[in-house]
Amino acid sequence: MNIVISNRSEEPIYHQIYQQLRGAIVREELKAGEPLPSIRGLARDLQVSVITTRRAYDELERDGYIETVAGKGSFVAPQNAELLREKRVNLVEEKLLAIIQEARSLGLSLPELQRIVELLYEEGL
Amino acid sequence: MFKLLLKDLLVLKSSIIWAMTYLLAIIVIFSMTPPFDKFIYIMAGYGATYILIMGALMAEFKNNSDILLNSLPAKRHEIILSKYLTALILTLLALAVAAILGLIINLLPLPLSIRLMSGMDAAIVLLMAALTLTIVMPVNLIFSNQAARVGIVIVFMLLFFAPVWIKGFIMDRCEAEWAQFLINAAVSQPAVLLAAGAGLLLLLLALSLIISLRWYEARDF
Amino acid sequence: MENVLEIKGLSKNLGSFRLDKVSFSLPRGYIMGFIGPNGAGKTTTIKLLMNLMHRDGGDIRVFGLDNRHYEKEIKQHIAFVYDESHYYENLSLLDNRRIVARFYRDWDEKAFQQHLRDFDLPPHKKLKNLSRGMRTKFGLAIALSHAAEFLLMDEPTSGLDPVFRSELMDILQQLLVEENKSVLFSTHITTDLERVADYICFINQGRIVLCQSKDEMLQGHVLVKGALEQLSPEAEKMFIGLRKNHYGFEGLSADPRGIRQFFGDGVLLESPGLDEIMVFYVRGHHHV
Repeated sequence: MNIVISNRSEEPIYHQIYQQLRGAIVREELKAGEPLPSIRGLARDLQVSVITTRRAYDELERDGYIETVAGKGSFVAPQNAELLREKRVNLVEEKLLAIIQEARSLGLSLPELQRIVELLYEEGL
Repeated sequence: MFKLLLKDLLVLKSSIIWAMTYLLAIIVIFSMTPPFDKFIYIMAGYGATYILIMGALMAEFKNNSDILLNSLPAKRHEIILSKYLTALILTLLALAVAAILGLIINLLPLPLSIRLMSGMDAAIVLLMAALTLTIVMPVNLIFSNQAARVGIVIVFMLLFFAPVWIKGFIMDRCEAEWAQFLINAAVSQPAVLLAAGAGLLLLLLALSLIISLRWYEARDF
Repeated sequence: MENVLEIKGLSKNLGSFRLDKVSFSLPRGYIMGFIGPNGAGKTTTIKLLMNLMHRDGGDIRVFGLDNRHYEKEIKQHIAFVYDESHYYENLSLLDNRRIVARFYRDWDEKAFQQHLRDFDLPPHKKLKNLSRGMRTKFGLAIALSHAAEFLLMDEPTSGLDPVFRSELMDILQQLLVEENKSVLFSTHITTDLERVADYICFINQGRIVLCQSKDEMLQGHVLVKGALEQLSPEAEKMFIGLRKNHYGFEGLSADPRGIRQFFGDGVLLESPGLDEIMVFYVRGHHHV
């Protein structure tokens, strides 16, 4: 699993960590029951503060992606298959929303956008 | 406390070699030049003590080591007490080395003949060291290392000239009752007079210690 | 949450400068950056904490204990690195270690030797023959070798190059992997802290300006850039610091939402760095 943090990004660092861990869980790179790195270990490896990392874990736990066992650390929560699919769709929707906004601001119509998506999807990029 | 003493010995490593070389040189040179041969142990012992005490103070001063020492788990009064105690130990060290050197020179088949160190030699060096300490310690703390070094030169001068001056002062007033008393005491019981002087000196040393402690406790670094 | 350091109403009058009722605390297990311009009171606070100075008022607790009454006990568990080395210049590193090690009950010689190797320090060289960076590393090697729980650093990086500063941050983060270690790190070079600090305490002219988690501090402020015409006296009140020149203005506000409502899309909004926050608080409103 890769986590890449940008210090120059508008996105708060805790949220970058949150999104990338969530992505790994939803794509099932991290499987249910698998342990996550310790908060302090991850903070050291990513060179970010402990509080920042803790916040990302807290939000992952709040949203049901991970579970924390006192004294043992955090683990990927068992994901309901139906729910997992829904979460994947959500993830794509989130990104599409940004693209649709961009398309609107550039004056692209819906059919035009649809064509681009179809083309790119078929090319398998 | 012991760790603070060891600290000074480590810091003084190079000064100790210096002081001992000085000791040997004085003993050898002055044993051949009367009338100084009478005072070799005093000159050698006190000289070495002086080098060591000033060396210890200088090292602390140059490194600004008060900040270090006071950041370590040590109390301020321990730091001051150890400075006085170190000085005493350095004096004893110098005396011991002087005595042993004298003995060795005597035992070896050398063309030098010197007397062995006496109790009086040791007592005088100890008293001189005490006087030095009394003045140098608080001056070094309150004013500066330079002031302490100037201070010690003044003490030296006093040590050289004061006996003659005091003798003259008393002789000029030999009719006065107190002068008579002192002269009588000096003639009949010199040991008592010496002990009284030593007692006075110890009192001053205690006072010096109290001043140093008070000052150091109240200081901001 | 247990605090390793609690300072309440700490005051000290030094004539031309006074520390004025400084209060803050550091929870166990975190790094706090203590920032402010030169002469703001960082070193005075640290000296009071280490009992190198006597306070005029207030209360300092380290590990929950009064720092004067339990001085020796507390100092067993505090490690310190100051901006200048105060070790003995004429002695080798090993002799300096010999002096210091005896003071600590839990001296860990193995750890010390390991740090010497990690930091490439020559054990037999005299301290006076080491560069500034090497001396700081030696101080750090000592600091990390007696099982201290609280590492106190006063401007350890001043005058050191970025490579060493980055190394130091890695060392601190490695230390923080253990949950019971805490660090108070004073500096005027805020970029050191941008990455790793959990909390930031910002002091200026002897008073605490802000003290909160770094994330809160960064997200709680916004940097605004725009044209002079957009400023009104009312708008200027929203800024903590404002810099105007002929071509426009740049300002820092602690009210990102208010700013967005007021200016809308008409201005450029950026998230500030710690250095910008510090500069605008210190300089206030000014014109160039």
